[in-house]
Amino acid sequence: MNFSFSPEEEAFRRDVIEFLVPHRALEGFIQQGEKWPEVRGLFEEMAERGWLSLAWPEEDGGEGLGIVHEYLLWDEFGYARAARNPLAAGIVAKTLIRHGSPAQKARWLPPIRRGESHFSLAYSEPEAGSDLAALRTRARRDGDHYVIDGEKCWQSYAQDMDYFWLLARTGEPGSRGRGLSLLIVDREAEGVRVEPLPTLDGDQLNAVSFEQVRVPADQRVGPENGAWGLMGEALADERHIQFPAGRLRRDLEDICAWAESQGCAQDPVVRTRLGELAVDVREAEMHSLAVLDAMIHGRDAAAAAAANKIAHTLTCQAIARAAMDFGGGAAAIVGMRPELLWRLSLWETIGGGTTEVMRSVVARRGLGLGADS
Amino acid sequence: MSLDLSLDDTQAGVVTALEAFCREQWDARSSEAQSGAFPAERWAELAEFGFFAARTREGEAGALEVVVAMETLGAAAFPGPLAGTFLATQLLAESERDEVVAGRSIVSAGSGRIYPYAPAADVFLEIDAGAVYRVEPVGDVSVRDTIGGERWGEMRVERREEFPRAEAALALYRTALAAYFVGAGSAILAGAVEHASGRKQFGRAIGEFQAVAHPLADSHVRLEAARLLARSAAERIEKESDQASGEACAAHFSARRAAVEAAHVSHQVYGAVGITLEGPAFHLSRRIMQSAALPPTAASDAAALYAGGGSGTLFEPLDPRGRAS
Repeated sequence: MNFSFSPEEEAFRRDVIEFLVPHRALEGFIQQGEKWPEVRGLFEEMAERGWLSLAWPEEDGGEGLGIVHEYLLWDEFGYARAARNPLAAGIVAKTLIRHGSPAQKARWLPPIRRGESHFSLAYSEPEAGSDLAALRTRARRDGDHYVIDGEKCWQSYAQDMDYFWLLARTGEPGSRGRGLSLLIVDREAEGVRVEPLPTLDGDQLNAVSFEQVRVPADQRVGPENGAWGLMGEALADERHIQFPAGRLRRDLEDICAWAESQGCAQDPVVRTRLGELAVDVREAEMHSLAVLDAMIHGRDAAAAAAANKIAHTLTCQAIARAAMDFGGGAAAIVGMRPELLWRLSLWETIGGGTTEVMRSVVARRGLGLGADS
Repeated sequence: MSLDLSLDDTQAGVVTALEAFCREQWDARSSEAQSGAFPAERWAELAEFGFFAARTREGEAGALEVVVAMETLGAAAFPGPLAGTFLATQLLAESERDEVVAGRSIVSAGSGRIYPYAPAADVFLEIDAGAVYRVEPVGDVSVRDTIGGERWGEMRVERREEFPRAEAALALYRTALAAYFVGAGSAILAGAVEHASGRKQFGRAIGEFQAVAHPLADSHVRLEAARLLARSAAERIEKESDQASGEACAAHFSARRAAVEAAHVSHQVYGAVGITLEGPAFHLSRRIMQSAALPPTAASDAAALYAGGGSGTLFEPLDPRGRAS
């Protein structure tokens, strides 16, 4: 049993920490919408080191390193709050590497690797959130194109990205997961409209409508009606970097510092609560390691990843809420750390699969219960 | 070597051997277990495995073997002062330690006026925050039956000596206790999950209802984190890391919370059968709740983890990743 990383892996971590020194004030992890030009620049700088394509195979232009390097990279980015892992270099690129044609790889992978092409997910719809297989956005084949009609909503970062990674129905209505395909859609394509939905953290989600949007058929990735399996694989590829525990440690450190600055850190109730939260953070770190360990050793990490998301996101909220609970009017002042972390934390237990969905995954995959979704 | 959270052959061997021992020698629902008498014979048999010598000059086993042994003993609701024995072996001089390691001298590690297993004990240790004292009973020992079905003592004590190196000994004690909680909590949860899979109401297995499944899932999430934390604490103890003590506090807090929660969730899932004396839950939940009453308290773990002013164990500048430098 070994909870440590190898000397070479630790040396890489130190490189990342050093790289992040000039970016410590960026806070792109928690305010990407506002900081997008700087975050984009940071990704380009990372790309020069090959860090956007760390775990891609070398024949696809990657560095061919293991997932441990990816884990360490994004854990440190979480701690530094520099940026979240970009969708393009993760889900999009890894799906293209597994299922893209040689022409698709040649077209899409190089600009992603260079940090020049950015994607947002277009999955959820007004009537299809947790029950994604119920989505209705239609992609109708018309010669060498697909024609897209439908409404997507709750899309993060769509306002700034270059392309959508769109999940649409190519099968019959009611075909559920068996009738879905993945398409790359240019955000500037005719018929695409992006409407902001301002959110309580000062950022925005987006409602995106597609009206007679023509997409070349060679921008479909993977087989027609075969998206469901691809999505599962892509999620599995990214489980180790989805929720970097470094972010939680940083949140807790901020709240400790805030409690000290407010003079309430000597209150025994406050101190006990901070100690409890330290345990919560360590628990989340253990779940992160469990996910990584399962992936390194080729075991199914679905239940571990769901457990990790539950632990991570509930802890994220508990840290923010504790600071509000400690009392003191300063916690309520806009721009102070506690209220900002609280506003940011509410999305965490919803986006990327709600806590309720995750609990059912743990019940089914971890405990063997036949729990409802 | 990179991350690898699986048990090695030695650790897996400990689990296999102790599972067989518990299966053959200890039934927590037997009349022997219900009698309240200290099971001296079983204790001596357990001592023959040699685990009590762990992390002493004579011992072969390390902290990781202690942890997997304690997980297995917890799952069987094995009785006696298991963690207290590890505390004593780290503190006592060789001649006295040999008797403890061999199972001939019984340890009572308590605080305040309550001392576990006092009627059968030979060595008394008081745990007070981060310190450990050798104490002696003063006056009569009142025998008290515990929720765990054991006999403890209520008494006054006098301090005789304060042990040096108590922090390291308490780290092993907390880690061992954490592992016992993980084992007992996982066992009671596994039983409740099996019950939820087989028990049908409203035409379905009750485990299909989210209201039943989700608390079980939450409990599993807590226990798995606690399991790894206890093992991580053991690894840090083996490496004699500066952070061993803090990790042991986190592990103890985490595992205690997880096991108590698992006990409550499991009783609820079992329904009426769970509250019968001969039912599937009480032999474990009573041991979990009794262990939760052992020192140190959860509050003292938490206080140890946040000292404030930048000296909190988990937050000090010696961050292992060197971020602060």
